[in-house]
Amino acid sequence: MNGTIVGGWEYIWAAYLVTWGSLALYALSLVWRARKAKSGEPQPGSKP
Amino acid sequence: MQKALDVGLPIVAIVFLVVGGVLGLTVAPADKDMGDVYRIMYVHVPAAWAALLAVTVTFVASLVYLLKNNWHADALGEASAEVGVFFGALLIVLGSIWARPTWGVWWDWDPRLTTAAILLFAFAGYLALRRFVDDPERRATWAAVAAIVAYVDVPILWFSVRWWRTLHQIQNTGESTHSVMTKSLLWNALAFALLYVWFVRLRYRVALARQAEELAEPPETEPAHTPAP
Repeated sequence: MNGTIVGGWEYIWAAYLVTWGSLALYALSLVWRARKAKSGEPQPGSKP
Repeated sequence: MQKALDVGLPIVAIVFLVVGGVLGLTVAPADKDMGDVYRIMYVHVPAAWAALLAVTVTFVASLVYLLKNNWHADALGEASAEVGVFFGALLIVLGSIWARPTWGVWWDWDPRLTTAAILLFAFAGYLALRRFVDDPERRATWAAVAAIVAYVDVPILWFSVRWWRTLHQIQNTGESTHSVMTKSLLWNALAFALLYVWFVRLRYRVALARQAEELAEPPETEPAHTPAP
């Protein structure tokens, strides 16, 4: 079968928004966890 | 230097992401078969490379831990595995978004997709294992062995598109693509590589802090008997 896929920009924007959004959220979570670790708060998984 | 890296890495990565995004979404020409949908490759492929880099670092760190009993290697392995699971999950979601308009399905049990899913679940299992084992030495040893076993999937994943010619296409070479396409991919790949380094640095600190907490805990001993007066 020959031919070019036409359109599909909604998928492209969805992919870029998922990428940028998840990168931002994961970065924020890591910054928050690293700050918590620096301040000496107990880490998740450590014994109470 | 540490502070400069903490601030500089994300800033440079964001600049690279913006340049890669503009090139990939507006400047690069449409593909002759896939049309515009192929532009998802500019984020899908860098996510794959970042995930593979992450699990490779965990694999090497695990070997170093087992050979040298080095706690920094254990912390690095943990940090890189979590970042690898993040990029691996992103890789699969982006691949699925691309597959729908291209293949007509969100998912197919193609060897490349299946081995990618196995890798993701194997390293998610590695992280789960770390949560379940309380003893730090036992946890580090078991996790290192698990990472080395899980890493066996990486060469199978990489060569799957050559060994089994099914739905997923083989890797393109620079010769078969327009130079702007290659540049768009490289800008995004560099951005993802920098973000990988930044993420691992942050997560490594969390792992080290937990290690310090655990190693500082006094050993559990029988309570001393108060001598009778």
